[in-house]
Amino acid sequence: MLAADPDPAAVPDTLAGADLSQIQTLVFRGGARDFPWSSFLFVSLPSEVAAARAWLREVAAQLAWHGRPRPTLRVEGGELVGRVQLALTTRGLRRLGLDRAVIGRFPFEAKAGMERRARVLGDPVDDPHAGDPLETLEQFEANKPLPTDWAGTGGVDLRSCDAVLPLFATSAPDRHALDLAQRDRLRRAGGTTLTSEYSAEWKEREPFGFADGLSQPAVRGQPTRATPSPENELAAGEILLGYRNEYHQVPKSPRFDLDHPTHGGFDVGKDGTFLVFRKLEQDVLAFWRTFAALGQRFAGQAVGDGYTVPADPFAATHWLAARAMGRWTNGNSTLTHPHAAGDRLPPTTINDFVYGADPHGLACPIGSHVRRANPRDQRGGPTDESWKVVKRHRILRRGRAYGHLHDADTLIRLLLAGEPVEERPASGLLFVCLQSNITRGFEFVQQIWNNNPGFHGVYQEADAIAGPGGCRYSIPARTVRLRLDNPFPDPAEPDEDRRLGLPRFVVPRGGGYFFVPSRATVELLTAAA
Amino acid sequence: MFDPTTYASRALTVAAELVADDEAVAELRGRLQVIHDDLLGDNAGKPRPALDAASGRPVVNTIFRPAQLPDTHFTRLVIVDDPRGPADDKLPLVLVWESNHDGAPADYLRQVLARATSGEPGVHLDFDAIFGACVGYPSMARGDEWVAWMLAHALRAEAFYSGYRGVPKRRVDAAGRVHAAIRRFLDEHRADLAGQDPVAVHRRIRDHLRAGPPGLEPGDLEPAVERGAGFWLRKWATLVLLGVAALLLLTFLLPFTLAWYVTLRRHERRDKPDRAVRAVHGLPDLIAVEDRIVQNQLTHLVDLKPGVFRYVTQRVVLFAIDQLARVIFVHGELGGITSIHFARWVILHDRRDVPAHRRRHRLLFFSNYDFSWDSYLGEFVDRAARGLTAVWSNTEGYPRTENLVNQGATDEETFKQWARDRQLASQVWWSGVRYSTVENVNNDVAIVRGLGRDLDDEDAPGWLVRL
Repeated sequence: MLAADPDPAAVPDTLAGADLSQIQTLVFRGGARDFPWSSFLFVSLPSEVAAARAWLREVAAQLAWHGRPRPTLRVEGGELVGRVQLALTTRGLRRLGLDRAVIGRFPFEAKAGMERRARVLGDPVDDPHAGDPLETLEQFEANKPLPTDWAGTGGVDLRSCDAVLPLFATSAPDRHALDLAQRDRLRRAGGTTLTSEYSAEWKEREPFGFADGLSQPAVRGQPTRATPSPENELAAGEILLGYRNEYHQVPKSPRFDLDHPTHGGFDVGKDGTFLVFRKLEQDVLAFWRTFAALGQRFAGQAVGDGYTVPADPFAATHWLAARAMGRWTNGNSTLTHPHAAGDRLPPTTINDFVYGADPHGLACPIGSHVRRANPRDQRGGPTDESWKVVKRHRILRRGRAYGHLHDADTLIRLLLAGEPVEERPASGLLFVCLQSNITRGFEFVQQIWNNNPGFHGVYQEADAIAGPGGCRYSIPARTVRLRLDNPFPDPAEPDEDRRLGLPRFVVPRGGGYFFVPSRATVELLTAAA
Repeated sequence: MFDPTTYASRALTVAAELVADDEAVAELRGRLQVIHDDLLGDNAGKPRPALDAASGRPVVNTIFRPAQLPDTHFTRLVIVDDPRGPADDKLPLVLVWESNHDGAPADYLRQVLARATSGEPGVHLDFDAIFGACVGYPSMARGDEWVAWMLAHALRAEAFYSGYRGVPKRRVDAAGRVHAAIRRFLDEHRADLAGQDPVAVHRRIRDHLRAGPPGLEPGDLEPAVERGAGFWLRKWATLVLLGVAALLLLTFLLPFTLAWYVTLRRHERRDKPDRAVRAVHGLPDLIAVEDRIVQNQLTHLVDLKPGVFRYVTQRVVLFAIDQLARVIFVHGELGGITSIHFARWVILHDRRDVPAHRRRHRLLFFSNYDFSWDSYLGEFVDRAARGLTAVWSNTEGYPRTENLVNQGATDEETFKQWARDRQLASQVWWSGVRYSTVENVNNDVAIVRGLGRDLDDEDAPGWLVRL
């Protein structure tokens, strides 16, 4: 029997007064400044519960909790300063012997896994009809279709993944040592490492060359120096379970039955959150080659209302890419800087804009990446209502870039001059986000905002930066809309939309859905069977 | 051309009891599956015919091709069963055909009949193969008798909403073609036109379209019928009548109103709402058919709470919503929700010969909407929680309410789980506007309207930004 639901009015929507040491540090700090190097270690646990728990006990001793002394991290030949975090799949929870009824109370999508959500996420699968009716957890876990591109070069197959350890270090050698020590520990425990995904050194920009991580919501009552604006502050229950959310409700959380002999009524979800990992490969060369060709084509053309595409192809390339992103490469919004990038605004003001002054998207197109990813005051209806609705879908991003980070300006100049560009190893984003509800957070943003072909009245378009490709992209104008299409169409493609649609520049290469447990839940999981 | 009395989009809901013959019903399910698979390929953008188990060859849908229905926006076929009914009190299976069409139902059915029996090669509208399993069905060969039978089994829509009410399907398609032709023209001549004055650009576009470019059909430039004096008359009459009714309830009928209110509060305290114990779970086979095209569908069935009180309250609330949908919510939004193409509520009355308190009247809801199930139900909670709570609080299991319209849908997860738990699979569902959102359709229609006259400096920029 389950305990009665808590009365929402009696549950706080703020972290003020909460025991923050129950919460993993990653929720509050991405760690970019202290730990520019990171990696994500994906784990398959030993099949025996006792062995899996023994492993967890060792890992638990190293985990970083907010406000608790940093644990000593032992590696080959000494100790180092770093941060170890932990997130588990429902498969992993099962291997750790968590009560089956409790696992059944985990959210649907967490049990189904990212692979089964391919259609929702716009990930290509060979058979779009894959997905027989499934009822049980075992069926979910055993019958996952692998999206097409995940099997390709550099793809990550996480179907048998039980846990991920996000690792953070101050230097590349430290990160390597930390990774090796964890792999070693896992091997001794009888588990296997599926893969380690290494980030590039933190540079505050993503591989295309745009400033990244500028817009992050704040959790009400979180430990922070700056006071967030009311529009940017979320009820704690949007990110963490166990607190009131933006619906003024307490999110449903996996709990033990009241009459369970040892853990009666224990809330497994409280102070935990859900983590989405996604490896996104970015075709940087194709991106800038496309925009350079478009820059040459549209250079000098009028847009109306005083806007003109710059006559210089280099500036025109930047202008068009900024209209696709909604920000210039330096991070300034095209709303505050409609004509040119200008000097980068300080962090206190760079994110300080609303779209109300630009209802038609003449400065910042409605379909641009950042406007889709966070429509702010322009989600429809009155401004207040728009903010209210938007807050119900925001996520905390904790991703890192990987691979070779090109210098965008150099690359554009080479491409415009027709000079050869050196091939480099693939680069992209190890996308990570946190939220209390994956369907309402990550999946919603991906499906209803970024990839939506009819977002706010646009016609068969998608995000030109990170969308699924195959769509043209249009920049609204006072007289004649500027329509970007593929400058290098495949003449053999019979379908006009697909031929003229922009290519897919960001290709998903695998990922998964994880639960980030609280300290109390980790303790419960490590307890002897 | 389009007589204002007939152009309005209509909601046809034919509901007929299936014969109590498992084999016949299984055969019907098999046929609906063939149609479903055919349309699923259609909906997914690539054909994927089902394979015949015996021969291994693709099964071709020669039964029912909704695209061949005249003047139809959306349609579906659903076998309404009684999954949540008590084991010893199951209601018989009902086959329901939902059609969102133009013109009077009788005219529409006659046209459907004419097309189906025309003998044109390739036309597959074999209603006999579908309704043949219904009690008392006369075959299409019976002509007028068939139309009369269909009408006799048509349920009244208690409330009906359309995101573009009064715009016939032909005009929706025509406006889409016109917009596409304008885009092609602008893309080709952008460098030349972009620097010009908006008024001049509008004129150039009009001249181009009047010359009959490829892709346009004769009559495409005719604007959809504007709302005339009849609409305004109806609008004011409705508002005055609703106002007078409200006034009466608060004055002469106040004792009655108070008695109703006290009863309502007593019911609300006693009702037993569903309890959600975990985050929202949808049945996998419902989810498996979702998110194929830009629209999705919902078929939802729930028992009315027993007794006259809830029954009457339900009818009154739906009547009010229906009236508002005819005169207020006619601009592509229903209480702030902009993603609904067509939606309706009908009541499946329990006409069994049993005592009144044992009758189980059921409320059936059909919706054809843009984007995902989660975004649609989210819009309900975000923008229209009160209206929906007023409707569904009269039905079984609905989350706890207060004063008819408060709470209820605001309990987001419980409300969504309540909705998922009572969702029925739609065996066949078809959209006639696979690539267009409600906003797209209304924008296209406005573009065509703006072509009918010269635009001045003030209007031209606003029109151009639509393109």
